[in-house]
This record gives sequence, structure tokens and C-alpha cells, in this order.
Amino acid sequence: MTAWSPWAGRSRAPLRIGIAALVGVDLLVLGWLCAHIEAGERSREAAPAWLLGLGGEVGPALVLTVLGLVGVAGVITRRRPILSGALALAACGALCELHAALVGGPMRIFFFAGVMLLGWLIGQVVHRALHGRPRGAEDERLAELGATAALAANYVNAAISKLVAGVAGWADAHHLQAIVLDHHHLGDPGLLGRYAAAVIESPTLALTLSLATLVIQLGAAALVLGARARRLSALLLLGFHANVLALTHIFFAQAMVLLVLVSAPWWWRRPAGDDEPTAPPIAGARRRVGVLVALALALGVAAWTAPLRVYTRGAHGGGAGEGDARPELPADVLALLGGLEVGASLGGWTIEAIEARPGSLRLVLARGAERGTVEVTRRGARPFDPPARTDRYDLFYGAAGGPTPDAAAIEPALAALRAGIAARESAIETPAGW
Amino acid sequence: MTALDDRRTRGLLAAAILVLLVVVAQGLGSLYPISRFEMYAAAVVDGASRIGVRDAAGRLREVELYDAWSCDAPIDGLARRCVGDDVRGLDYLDDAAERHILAHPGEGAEAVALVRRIWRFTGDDAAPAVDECEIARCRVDLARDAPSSIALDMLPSEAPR
Repeated sequence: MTAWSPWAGRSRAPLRIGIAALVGVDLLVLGWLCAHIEAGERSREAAPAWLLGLGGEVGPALVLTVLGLVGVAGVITRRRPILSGALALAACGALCELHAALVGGPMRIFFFAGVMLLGWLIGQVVHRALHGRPRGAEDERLAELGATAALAANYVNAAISKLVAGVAGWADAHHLQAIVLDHHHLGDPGLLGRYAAAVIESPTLALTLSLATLVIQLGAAALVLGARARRLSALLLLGFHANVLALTHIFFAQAMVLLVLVSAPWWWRRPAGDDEPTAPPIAGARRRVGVLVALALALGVAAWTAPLRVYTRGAHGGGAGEGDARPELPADVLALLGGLEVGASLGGWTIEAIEARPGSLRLVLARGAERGTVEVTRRGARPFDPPARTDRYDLFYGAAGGPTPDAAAIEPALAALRAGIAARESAIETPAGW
Repeated sequence: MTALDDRRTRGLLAAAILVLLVVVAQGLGSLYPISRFEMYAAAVVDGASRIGVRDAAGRLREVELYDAWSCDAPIDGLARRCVGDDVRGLDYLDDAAERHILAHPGEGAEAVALVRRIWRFTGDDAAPAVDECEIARCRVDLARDAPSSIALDMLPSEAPR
């Protein structure tokens, strides 16, 4: 019978130290980033001002990094291991969320060591609930199991997200081909460039890789099914990461290191055998486990009901999340536009943004490399002769972060907007406050 | 209650942690250290695009291979250039290209075009149709640490337009 873990019968210290050390690396990287990045255009609109205000400040980043490293040291040396682990996680979490707010979204490469440390701590807490204070490092058996389950959860989550978003998409070869085109270096003459080209030109190969991704990620649950299953699943996941690296240059180095660590540093040797038996549960263990189960249930419910999720369900990579939704345009302004919306064409220009301002309406337009704005105000509200006007409104044009567009170039957009407003204005009240 | 080393205890604990972290992640989205990893989940099957450099010899190369940038048009907001209903880009890659250009100003000697390369899928088995949208004309120098190999377009069928 195969061992329940590649680590069975061995000290888990290398695994514990490896996870903690990677969290330490994350702390240093995130601390440096947070100390150097200030809030800007990329920052999340939904992030609180006080949080964004910490960006670019050395003090808070340094304090959090040092606190986190103290926690990491505690985990490595097993000095108050649960408290130390919680401190490291909290500090790294604060830095990671600050960084995510500053750059518009979280970088998931930092989530692997963190989630494994979380799983490790859960395992230790459960051990204490069952057996009280551990003799030596015996609590690390369940800690290892917890960390492995947490790592598996990352991949299962990725697969479930794909299934939730739509199986049809992942059953379409174009999805992976688009991802490769989006990422692979332009003009790559090497072997990897040829491999990427093969995926782009072969729907069969692309579809095979797409479906393999789903199967391998869902199969990550096998990481907790015994030593042999763990090694097989880890090998497949390593292959998946290597393929992602080859096709898109996205390198989840930390995840790959952790997969090797968790599945065994001794691939060429059989597992050592099973662990020594642990003492039976202590009195009151059932009640303590009951409390932990209740806490877990409460956490699960909170994850689906807490107002926080409006913020944390934000989109990837700087896109606007649910909490970043811009305020809706007032109905009277929308009526004036007559259905024009972002992305629509206006006199050969594309509408990039529509902004309702006090006393005016502003459209940001783009055409190739050119950008400009068109602004609508109540007639006579400004002491200038407008380039276009209707019976009730003046229309102006201007710059959008660059040179002012040429009058002849922007004129078709002005004319199109003027014509639309002129046709509608008699039936619409002037927007409030204009 | 059974002993800790019992298979059933271990199985229950592993399953409980796995299910808990999946439920929390799918409900909450991303909150360190838990995430649903939804980055590439949503299907995109219409096409793709990238910001790149078209050099005088017609080769398409990465922006990061060049420095000493000066352009005849502002390059701020690259992520919003040449995109629309049927063309989308990846903001973070476009932003990285923009940051590179802004961080490497100068008066380069080589005339190039800053372009958005656009691929559109037209059929199940056909190679994607290729298009290009010029964003600006620039002067650049090949960065000293750029690879010396001759760049080739990714697909043999792609002729510069």
C-alpha cells in the first residue's frame, strides 16, 4: 500500500522552511513595490483613499515587511508557529492588497506560498483542537496535508472559474490561440516561437491543450490522495506551468517550486513509510472540532454575503471590478446623447469615455493615434464662440492628454453630435444644474 | 473519535480545506491569499492584439527591444489606442509598453512605426487574419542588451501591411 504522503516518515522541516522562505521573498518584493509605486491612473477607483495614500511611502511598507519577516522567522524556527504564521500572512496580505489597489489588480504569483501557509496553519490548528499542544513537530503532519490541500484548491479554483465562465469558450480552440497571440513575444525566431506558431495555426493542438489544462487543474485534487497520486498530479501541473511559460512567458516560478517541494524532494526514492502513530484525541476534541467547523461554515457564508466581495471580485490586471463601476450618467444627459455609448463611432472617431461634469457633458474621442474631446454646455454658458451650436447648446472641442486635434479632423465628430442633439433637444429638458 | 493517523480523519481534513477554500474563493473573488484565478477564464474567441514596433525592414518586434524613443504623437493611453468593439488588447501589457517608452526617451536614429498588431479569427480552421493600426511614427535605437538575432514575424503567412 502506498504511503499517504511523500513526506510520511520524514521531517517536514524542509517543506515548512521552504513555504515560509517564499512568503519572506514575497514580503520583500511586495514591500519594495509598495514603497515605490504611488497611486495613479492604474489604481483601483474603488480602493479607499487612505489605502492608496500609503503607496510610495517607505514607512508603512517597511513596517509591514519587517513584521512579516518576524513572523516568517517564527515559522522557520517554530517559535509560536501559529501566531508567527498568522503575523506573516497578515503582513503579506496587507502589502499584497495595497499593491493590488495601486496597480489595479492583484498579482496571483504571490498567492501560492501564502495559501500554502494558510493551509499549514489550519492543519496546525486542527491538530491542536484534536491533540492539544504537539509533542515535537507532530502537528506538521496535518499542517503538510493542509498546505497541500490549499495548493490543490488554487488549481481547482482556476478550473472551476473556467467552467463557470463557460465551457464553450474552453472548448473553442480560438480561446487559447488568442491568449498565445496576446502574450507570445513578437518576432520570436526560436524554438518556442515556432511552437507558439504551431499552436496558433493548429486548432486541433490548441483545443487539445485547452482541454488538458482543464483536466490537469481539476485533477489537482489528487494532490491529497496519497504519495503516488500527488507525484503524478504534481508532474502534470509542472508540465502545465512549463507549457504556459513556453507559450505566454507567464512564469509561476513560486508555484513550480512549491509543487516540487510538496510532492517530494526525493523523486527517485520510495517514500520512507508511514508516520509514527499519534496519540488519541484529548478530551473535548469533539467540541473544539465542532467550533472549527462552525467557523469554517461562517467563513463560507460570509464569502458569499459580505459587502467586501463587491471590492474583492474586481477584475484581473487593472480592469475595473464591480466596485470600480463609474457612477451612471444622469438620465437627462443620457437622453441628450440619444443612445450614444462608449465604443460607438461618432464622425469617424471612437468614443472612449463619456463624462458628466458640473454644467457640461464631455466625450473623449480617439481615432488612430489622435485623441481629443468634445464638450457640450448650455448655450452661452461660456464666454467663447463655440465651433458648433444648436438652439440650446454650445459644442467645444479640446485636447485629451496631448495636442489639441486639428479643427478639420474633429469637425465630423462635432457635426455628428450637433445633428443628434439638435434633433432631440426640443423634446428634452436641459440637464439639471446646467 | 478516531486517531489522527486514521485515513478517514486525514481525508476529511483535506476535503474540508479544499472545499472551504474553493467556496470562499468563488464567493469572494481574490483576497490574499485566496483567489479564484479567473484571469483567463472568460472565453475570448474573436481575436487578439499587441503593441509592437514595425522597423524600416518591415520586421515586427517587441517595444522593449528599443530605447531612445521620440515620437511624432503622444503615446499616453496606449491601452486605449486602436481598440474597439472588435479589437481588444491586454491593458497590462499595453501599459508595460507605454511605461517602457516613457522611461526610455531620447533621439534615436532608426525610424520605426509604433503599431497595434491585430489578429481576427475568421473561421474554425483558418489562420487568423492580420491587420495593423499605426499609433505613431517614432525614432529609436536598438537597446544595447537586445538580442542580436534577426527578428521574424511569428507566422510565416503574415506579411507586413
